[in-house]
Amino acid sequence: MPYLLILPGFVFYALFVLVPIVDTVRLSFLEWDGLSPQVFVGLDNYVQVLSDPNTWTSLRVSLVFVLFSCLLPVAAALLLVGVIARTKIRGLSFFRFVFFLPYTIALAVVAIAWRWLYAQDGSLNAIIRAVFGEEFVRPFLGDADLALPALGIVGLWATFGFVVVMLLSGTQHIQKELYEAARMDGAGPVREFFTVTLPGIRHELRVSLVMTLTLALRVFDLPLMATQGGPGYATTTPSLQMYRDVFINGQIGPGSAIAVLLTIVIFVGVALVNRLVRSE
Amino acid sequence: MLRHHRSARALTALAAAVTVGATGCAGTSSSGQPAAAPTAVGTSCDKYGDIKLTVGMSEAGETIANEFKKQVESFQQANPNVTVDLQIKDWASSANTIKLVMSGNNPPDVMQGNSGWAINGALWKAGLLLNLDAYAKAFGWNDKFHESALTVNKFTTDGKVLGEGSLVAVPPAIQYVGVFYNEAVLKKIGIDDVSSLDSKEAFLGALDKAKEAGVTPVMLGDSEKWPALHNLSLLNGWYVAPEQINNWALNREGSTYDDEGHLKASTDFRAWMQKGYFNSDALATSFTDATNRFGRGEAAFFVTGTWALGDVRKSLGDDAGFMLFPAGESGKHAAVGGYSLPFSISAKTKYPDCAAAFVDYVTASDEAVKAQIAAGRPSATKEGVNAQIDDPLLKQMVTEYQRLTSENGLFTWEDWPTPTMLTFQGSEAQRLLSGEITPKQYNEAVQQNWADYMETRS
Repeated sequence: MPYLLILPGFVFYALFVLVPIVDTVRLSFLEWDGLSPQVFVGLDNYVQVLSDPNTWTSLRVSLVFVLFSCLLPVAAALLLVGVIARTKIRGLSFFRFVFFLPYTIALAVVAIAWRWLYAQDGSLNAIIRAVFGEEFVRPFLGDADLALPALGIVGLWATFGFVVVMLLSGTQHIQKELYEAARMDGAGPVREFFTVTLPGIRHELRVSLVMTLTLALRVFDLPLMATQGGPGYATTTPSLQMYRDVFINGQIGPGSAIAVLLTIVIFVGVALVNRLVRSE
Repeated sequence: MLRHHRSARALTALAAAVTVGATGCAGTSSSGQPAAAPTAVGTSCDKYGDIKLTVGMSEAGETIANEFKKQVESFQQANPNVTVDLQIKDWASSANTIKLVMSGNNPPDVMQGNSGWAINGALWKAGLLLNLDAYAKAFGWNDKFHESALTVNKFTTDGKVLGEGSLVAVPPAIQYVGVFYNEAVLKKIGIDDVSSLDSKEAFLGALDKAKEAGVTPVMLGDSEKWPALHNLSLLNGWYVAPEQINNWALNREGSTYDDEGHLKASTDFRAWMQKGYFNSDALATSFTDATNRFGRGEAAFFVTGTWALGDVRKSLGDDAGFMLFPAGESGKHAAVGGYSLPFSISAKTKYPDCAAAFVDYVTASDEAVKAQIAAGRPSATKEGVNAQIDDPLLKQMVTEYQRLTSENGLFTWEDWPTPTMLTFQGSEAQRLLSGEITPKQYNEAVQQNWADYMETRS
């Protein structure tokens, strides 16, 4: 009977989530341009994708995104929350609102806004020009070395607020007595953070890590809108590579293989996080 | 704690689902055979009653799009039973979606695709484009167009050869890449007589002068990864014979991109970036932004296709000029180009005669000849270059075109030979400009892409 109740929801889930997943796996074993008849080629697509240096470049790009939009924001947010948790701040809900705001904006919009900021005649370069002089002005998104960190910072900007709010919500249910007790035992702020705050927000920390890690590994709209994966392949993520293969180059097989491999990478990443940040 | 563990797993699954699900909507397989040619065809929309004709349009430039809208209006007036549902996209987003759109259940009746393998070749092979041979006869296209305008839009029935076989698309206009200049800026840097720039040395001298004067010599906006390729193509024209380039673009055995001539061109291309002949933010600038910035007088030259003519004229007025890319070592002019994005008809259309009548109207009719002139380029018909032209910039462009063809200097777009060439060259060229790869590596990589595709075809 209870299963009957979830049936309507499950049908939708199966139709729009499970079926596409299975179909993608099937496509990854085919040679197909999206239009002509499909030919089964076994593992060829995987061999092709794994031996393509661009795949590894895109994985490297992904890892940089993990650094910028998962590890750094989580580290920074932990620091901030560590400070906030032990004091009472007036107007906290206002700050929460402000921090969270960037996360509510679609990444595609964020990308376009930052394109303007990063432009040769954009605000950032205007500041640089005024402070350091013309020779330090850079076309950030058009520079093969700077484009990736520049986009990374956008990722940081976009996810930081989310992580802060997540972790802050975790601190709400830490009993204040614990801090008092720790202080009575002579704990300093650092000790307090590790014995009271951190254990108290473990669940939230884990969820933050999982959410930002998956976001970072599959980020697509940001590089598509900001740089089209360029210059060259400097900001091409696996998702973008997949999109290009499937929708533009008519290489559905290799594109699907990238999707499957990326999913495995995400699985492993998330499993790792779950292991590292155990609830107990 | 079990509960939390479960939620973590659910998160994992969700994350995975979102990723894998992304490709699950890539369309369905179709017959995989080029469609059979219709035999008995008509030339008007009358027999269908009140209908809606869906038309996809995807050319670069606001002026061209606006003139096209006017053509659609007057087509509707001439055919009161037809309502045209016009969908305009910019070229980059059209290229990304056209295969999905055309293979869907409800494709547009008329669509502006692209010659070559990446789009029209793939659509033709899959049987999604109508064979236009019978319409060519009915509308007299074979007489109205230059042979070359139709040849580049033909594919064989087995879908293996480009340039022979059945007609699958009809181009509206002539298009080639040349040099727009800003006369006011040139005067400011001490160049009064533009005709003196018609040699490689003089042109390079002008670039140096611009640079010394603190003016961007050549405006380039390549963030979409295609405009730089046209600059490189012109440099190829300095060192490689047009026939040789055509042979390569049309997949003729034994052709190569990895030779001395192409190497000189790639080396120049890289050097132009290093020397500051291009704006330093070229790779972060979109084509539209580059057009606007050139229109604001931020550069001396803008090397791009004639599709920018309308927009450049609008912003620069009388200061705008157009010339052929100066002749290289051979002393002959050469330029990449041919015809603009051609119109095709979906094999699934319910109104083939009406769709064909529309294509005829926007490409081959007398109205089309005038409309194309208004859009800033001659139509692809024989009448096109003879049309009455009042605009001096356009006159310049047409005169230059005739000079180019009289020297047999026109060669075709170099992204044609393989389905992935455009995106491949687009990224590799940016790496070349960034100094990530050497000119030699660029040429080798491009040739490798070509050779790999040749292998799959045999």
